[in-house]
Amino acid sequence: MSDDDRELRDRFAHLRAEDRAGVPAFRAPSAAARWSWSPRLVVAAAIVLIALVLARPDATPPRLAHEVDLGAAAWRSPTDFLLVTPGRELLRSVPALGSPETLAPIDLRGRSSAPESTQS
Amino acid sequence: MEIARADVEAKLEQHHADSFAWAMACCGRERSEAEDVLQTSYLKVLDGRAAFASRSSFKTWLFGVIRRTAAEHRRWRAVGRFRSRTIDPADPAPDPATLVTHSESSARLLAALARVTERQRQLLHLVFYQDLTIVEAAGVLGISVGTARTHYERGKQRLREMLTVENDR
Repeated sequence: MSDDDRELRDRFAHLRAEDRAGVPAFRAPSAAARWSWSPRLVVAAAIVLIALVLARPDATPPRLAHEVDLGAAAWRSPTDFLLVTPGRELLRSVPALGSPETLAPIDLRGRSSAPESTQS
Repeated sequence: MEIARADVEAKLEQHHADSFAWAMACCGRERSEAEDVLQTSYLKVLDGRAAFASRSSFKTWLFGVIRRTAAEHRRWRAVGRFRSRTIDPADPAPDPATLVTHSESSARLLAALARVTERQRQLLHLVFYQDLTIVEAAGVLGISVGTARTHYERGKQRLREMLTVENDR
C-alpha cells in the first residue's frame, strides 16, 4: 500500500468513525410491512385484466349513440333536371331492326349462284 | 441450504452499520432514501425474494441486494419525477446538514467524492470504507475485475487530485 493509499484509507476511516454515530438502530421489517408491496401487485393485476378485456379479439365494436341507416336515406340532387335531355331514350336503348319473321329469307338457288365467266 | 429466519436477522444486524453506510453511498447520501432502501432490502432477504446462495460472503451478497434495490428506487423516483414534472437536480453533492455533522476533513472528502463518477465513488467506498478487495467490490457491483480495477485507479487518481487542490486552498 502506497503512502497515498494510506492517506486515503485514513480519511475514509475517519469518515467511517463519524458516520457510526448517525447509524439508525437495526429493526427487522415487520410482517405488516412485508405486504406493503401488495397494492402495487393489485394495481398491476387490474391493469393486465383491463388490457385483456379491451384487447379481446371477438369483442364487438362499441355502438354509436346515433346510428344512421344509410339504406333508408333518400337524396336527390337539385340539379338532376339538367340531365333530362331530349331524345335521351335513344341514347339509352339499342335500336330494334324488326322481328325475324318479317325478314324473308333470300333464296339464292333461283339465281345464278355465281356470275359465270363471259369468256368461253 | 436454508438459513433460519433468526439466523438471517442476526446476520443483518451484524452488518447493519456497514449496510447503512453502503445504502447511503448508493443513494447519494440521502438519509431518508437510504433508510427506505435498506428496509426494502431487508424485506427482500427475509421474505425470500433475495436468496443467499453461498457463492460469496453474506456481506458482499447483501451489498449487491442493496445496490440493486437502490437502483430500483431511483427508477421509481425518476418515474415519479416525470409524472409530477418536478425538477430534481442530479447533483450528488452531500447536503449541508451532512456536512455540518462531519469534521472538516470528512466534509472535504465527501465533497471530493461527490465529484467523481458514480461507479468510481462506489468502488472507492467499497475498497476504502468497507475494506473489501477489488474482486469482492467487482462482485458487489456486478462488473468484471478488470473494469473494477480501471474505475478504481481512475477514481483514486481523481480523488487525490481534488483533495490536493482542496488542501492548497
